[in-house]
Amino acid sequence: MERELIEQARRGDRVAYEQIVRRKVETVYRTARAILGNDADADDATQETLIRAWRRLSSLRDVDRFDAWLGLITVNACRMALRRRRGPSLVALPADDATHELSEPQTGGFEHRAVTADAFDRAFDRLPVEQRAILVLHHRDELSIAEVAARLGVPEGTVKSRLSGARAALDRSLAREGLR
Amino acid sequence: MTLDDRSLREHLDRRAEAGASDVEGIADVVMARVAVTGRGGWWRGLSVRGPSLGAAATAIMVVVVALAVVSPGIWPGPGTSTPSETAPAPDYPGLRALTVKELDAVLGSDPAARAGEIVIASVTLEAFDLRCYGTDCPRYLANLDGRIVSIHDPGEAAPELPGASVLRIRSDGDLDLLGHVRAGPDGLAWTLPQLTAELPEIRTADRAVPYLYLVDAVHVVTDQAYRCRFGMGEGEPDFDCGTGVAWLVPNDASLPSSFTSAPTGSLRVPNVSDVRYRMYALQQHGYWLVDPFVAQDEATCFLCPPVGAVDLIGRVPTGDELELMPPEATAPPVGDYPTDRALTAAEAAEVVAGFTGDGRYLAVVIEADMVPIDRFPECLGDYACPTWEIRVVGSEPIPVWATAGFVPNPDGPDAFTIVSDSGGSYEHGLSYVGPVMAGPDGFVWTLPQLLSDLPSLRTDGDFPYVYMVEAERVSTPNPAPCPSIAPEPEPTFDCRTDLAWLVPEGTSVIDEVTRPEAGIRVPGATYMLDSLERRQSGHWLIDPVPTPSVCIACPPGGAAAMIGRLPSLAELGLTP
Repeated sequence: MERELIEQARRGDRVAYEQIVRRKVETVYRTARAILGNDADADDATQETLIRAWRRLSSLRDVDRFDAWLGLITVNACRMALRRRRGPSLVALPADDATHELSEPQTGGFEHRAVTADAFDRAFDRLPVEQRAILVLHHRDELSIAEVAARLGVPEGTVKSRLSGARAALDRSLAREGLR
Repeated sequence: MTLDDRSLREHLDRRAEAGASDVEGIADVVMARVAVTGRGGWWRGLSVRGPSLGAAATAIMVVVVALAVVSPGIWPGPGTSTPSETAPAPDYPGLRALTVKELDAVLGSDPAARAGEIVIASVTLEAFDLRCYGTDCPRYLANLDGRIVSIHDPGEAAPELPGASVLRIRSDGDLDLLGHVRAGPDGLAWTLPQLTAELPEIRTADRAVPYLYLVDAVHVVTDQAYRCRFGMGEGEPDFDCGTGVAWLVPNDASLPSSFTSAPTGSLRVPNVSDVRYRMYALQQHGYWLVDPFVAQDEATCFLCPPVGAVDLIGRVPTGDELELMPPEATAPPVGDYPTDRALTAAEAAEVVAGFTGDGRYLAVVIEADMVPIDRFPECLGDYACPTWEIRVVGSEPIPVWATAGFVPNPDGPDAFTIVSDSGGSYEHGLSYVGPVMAGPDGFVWTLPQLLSDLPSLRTDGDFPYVYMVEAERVSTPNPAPCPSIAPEPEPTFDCRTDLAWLVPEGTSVIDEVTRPEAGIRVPGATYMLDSLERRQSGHWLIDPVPTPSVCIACPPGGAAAMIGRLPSLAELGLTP
C-alpha cells in the first residue's frame, strides 16, 4: 500500500504524497527532536525534510528504500538547521521534572551516577550533528548497523567506528558536566 | 561517566517526546508548501509543476517594478521580452538587476555553493501567509521561472518599495531579503561622485524609506594603526580610530601611501576588523551595496570626509563572477563539427533534448564548463546519479554522469556519450568519457598521425585522453577463427568476435584471418546508435588500449576501445 503511494507521489501525485506525509511526519519530527533538542529547530528540520523529499522524490530509484532515503534527508536537514542557527544555541530551561533520575541506579560493572536531563542535554548538544544522529538512529530508533549505514550513506564498518566514537565523545562531554 | 544503553535510550526518548509541537500542524504546513512547490533542478520537466503561487499564498502586493527609475532603454518594464532573458548579463549589476531566469541560473542546482553572496534581482514577492512552525519561517515566496523559493526577511525590509530586491543566498537555498535598491541616474549603480552629491538630499528623507544604494567604487582599507586622541576611541567602533579604517573612493582616485585625512571624494565605511597589516593599503574595486543612513559626528567618525559615512552591506558579485553566460557563449560557433570544433553547450542541449536513443548511445565532443551539482542522498555509487551539469542559457542544464572523484578537464573539449536513463526517471543526459587530445594539425588526427604517435604515447603507460581519428572502419561478418590453443578470454579483441579495424582510407583487401598492414584493431560488436556498415568512413572517437593481453589479428597500431562514430552536425539535426 505504502509502496503504491510512493510510486504515485513520484509521478507527482500530491494527494498520495500528503498521505505519506501524514504517516511519516511524526517519525521525522521525533528523530529531529531527539537530534536537535528543541521544538523550533525540530519543526524547521521536519518541514525541510518533507519539502525536500517532495522536490527530489522523482529521483528516488528504489521505492523500497524510501524510509532510508527519508532518514538521510532528515539528518541533512538537522545539519542545516544547526548551521542556520545564529548565536548561542537554545538551551531549554529545566522543567519541573527535569532533574529526576531517569534510570534506576545500576548495581555493578561501572560507577553510576544519575544523569539529569538538563546535564544530558547540554552534553549531547555539544556533539556534532553526525554523532548525535548516529546515537539517535541506533539507540533510540533501534536501527541495526546496516540500517544506520543505509540512512547515513556510509559503509557498515564506518558506522561501527563512528558509533564507538560518538559514545566516547558523549562520555567526554558528560564528564565536562562533572559527571565522572 | 559512561551511560549504559538503557539510560541513553531513555534520555533520547525524552528529547524526542519533549515539546508540544503539533505534528499534524507541521504536516498541514508541509502540504501547503508542497502545493506551491515544483520539483527543483534539471528534472523539473518530468514532474508536475506547482500551480501559480496564488493557489496557496495570498497574492498581495509586491510587484517589484524593477528599475522603475532607470531609463526605459535599459529595462523596458514588466511583461516585455528583454534581451537579458536569453542573452548574457555583462551589464549586471552596473546597469540592471537580474531577471528571474538569471537568478534561477545563479542558484543552480546547488544554491548552498553560493551561500552568503548578495544578488540584486527583479522578482515578484508574494506573501507567505501560511502557518509556519519554528523560528525560521519565510515571509515571501517568489517564482523563479518555475522554481519556487522561500524568502526570509530578517531585517524587516519594506517589501512594498519599488526597486529591485537585494537578496542574500542562504546555505539552505532560501533567500534573505535585505532591502531594495534605488537606482542611480545612469543605471542600477551609482558612481561615487553621484552618490556623494545626492547624499545630503537622501539624508533629509525619512529613515522609514530604507533604500540601499549600489555604488561602483574602490574599497580602501588602511594598513595603519591610528592612535586615538584624547576623547576618541569611545565612540562607535565601526567608525572609530584604531585599525582597519576604510573608505570607498572613486575609481580614478590617486591614493597617498599613508592616510592622514580622508581620501578626496571618499565616503567613510565601517572599519575592517580583521585587516591584516600589510605594506600597502588593501584596495578592491567592485559594486558595493551601502546603506547611507548612518549618523556621524566628529567624535564618533574618525578620518571622516565631509560627506560622512555609510554602512557597508557587502560587495555584489558581477555577472562574470556569478558565471552568468559570457557573450561568447551565444556567438555562432565557427568551423565545422567535428573536424574543426566541438559542440557548444547550446548545441549539446539541443542534441540531448532531441535524443531518442532508447538504450543505445551516441558519442559527442563538447567544449563547455561543467559545474558540480548536489549528490543526491540515494546515490551511493559511480554513475548512479548525475553529479555535474552543463548550464545553458535559455534551457535546462544538461546532467552529466561521471565517476566519483571526477575532475573536469580545464582546457579543451571533452568526450561524452548521450545516454538514456535506464530507470526511466530522468531525461537523457551525458555520460562523461574523457578529455579529448587534439591532433597535431587540427582538431582531428589523421590515422597516419595517430599511428605514428601511438608507440611513444604507449610508453607513458596509460591513455588519459581519447582521440578523434579520421579513418575507415572495416569489419568482417564472421568471428575470427581461434587458434588451436585458445588464449585466455579477452572478449573485446579475442577470437570468437567479429573482427574490425580502423584503417587508412582505401585499404583494399581485408582478409578475415589476416591483420591489415596498417591500422588499429577495434571491437567488432557495437551498441552505438547508428548501425555501422561493413566499410564506413568517418570520424571515430577511440581510447587506445596500452597493452591488450590478447589481440587477435592486431595490426602494428595495436588496439583501441571504440567510443563511437562522431556524427556530423547535419546527422545530429543541427544546422551546419
